[in-house]
Amino acid sequence: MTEQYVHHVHTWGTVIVLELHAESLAVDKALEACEAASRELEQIDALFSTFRDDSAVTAIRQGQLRPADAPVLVRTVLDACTHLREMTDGAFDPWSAPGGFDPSGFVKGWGADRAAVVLESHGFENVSVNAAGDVSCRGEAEPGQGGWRIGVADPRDPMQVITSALVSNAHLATSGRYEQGNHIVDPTTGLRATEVASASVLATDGGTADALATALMVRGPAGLSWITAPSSAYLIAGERVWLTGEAFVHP
Amino acid sequence: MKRALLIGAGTIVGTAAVLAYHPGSLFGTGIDASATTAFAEVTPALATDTGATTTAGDAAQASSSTGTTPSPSAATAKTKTARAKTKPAPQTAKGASGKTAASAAPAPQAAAPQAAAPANGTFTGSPARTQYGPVQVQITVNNGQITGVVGQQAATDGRSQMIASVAIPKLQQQAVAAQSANINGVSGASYTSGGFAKSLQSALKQAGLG
Repeated sequence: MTEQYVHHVHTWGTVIVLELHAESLAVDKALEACEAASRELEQIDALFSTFRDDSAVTAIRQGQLRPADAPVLVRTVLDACTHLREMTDGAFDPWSAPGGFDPSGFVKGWGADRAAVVLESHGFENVSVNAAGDVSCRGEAEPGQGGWRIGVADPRDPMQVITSALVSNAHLATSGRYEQGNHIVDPTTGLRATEVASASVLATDGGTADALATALMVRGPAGLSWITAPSSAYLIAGERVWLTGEAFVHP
Repeated sequence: MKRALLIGAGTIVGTAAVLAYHPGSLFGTGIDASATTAFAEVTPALATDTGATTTAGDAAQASSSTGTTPSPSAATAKTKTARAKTKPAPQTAKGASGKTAASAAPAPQAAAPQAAAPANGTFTGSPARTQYGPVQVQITVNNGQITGVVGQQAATDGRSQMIASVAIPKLQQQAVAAQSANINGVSGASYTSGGFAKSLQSALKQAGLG
């Protein structure tokens, strides 16, 4: 029987769930690893939060910090966001967010990956980090399972799982109208995206998965050309579902 | 004897506030914020009109059961059968994949997760260890729908506020996860969202815990 340890981190304005699985699991070691991952998450918040007056991103938004002078982690994120903006023809564009530069659509997945790496560095091979529905997984949940089976909540009824994917050493991000209504705006038109109910992307990199899920909400099925192997996507628009790749199955 | 973890009034207010966040769903209807028996009152909100899409998975996930019909093992077997039947579905969508989708638009596929055999009864999950101590979840299922979720603290200490603040998001996760066998987590769910955390804090405050 696999032993489990669950740790909740209250940061990024949400709750991030760390989960460690092992055949035999020492709680003190698990706690130590989770506290280290928690510190990593809080450092990311200190750099990237748009709600903190003292973050690097706030300084960039206010014109008080040139991107070239930003800390190296921020420059890394800026470079990745630039690449993803080009890749998606502007459907993902942190620079056109209301209120100024906001890389949150990349940082949530990217940061979840970093927390997972911290947990791994403490000797835990089978971990998941769920940042408000964006999930980084390493190893597997059960011996022989080959990964973590992560369900996707139905946007029409979040208490139901509509599909699932086996996630290992990868990230599953879902963007959708689950809670705050239709909050995705097409940066190229300034209009609210209306067609897509939810978009899930499985990719090896959390930041990419997160950004592409956001971009698919904007562009809809036409954006599925961005999803290439080994990535997969699951898109719900109207009464239809689009699939690319082979990761998503019915639960 | 495990003591109940969640406090009625606070929990129901929190849940009602969260559920009301979902426009266009059944959530938020029929919930009496002044109710004092928490999960029984939540029942109508957790039930859905999408048909009996749940789930013998409750039984598969549960470590023990006080259910009457059917037995957990029978329910598990039925789930596996249902899963096998649905497996070919994604393969029919292979044409939707590929690097040159610009020229060939992906083919839409109907969203039709198959219903599994409904299970009835009360199911208790394995205790989850958290930084605040072990938390255990018990769900009640009626005609395949989750009709009640109860969190218990498997060990006693005086930190009920902290435990409640971790348990409720986990309960929501379990409630979703329990509907599909072998789900280890959920993407896109609102249980860890900022809105949830906020309304939870509000509920705890109203209950005199925050």
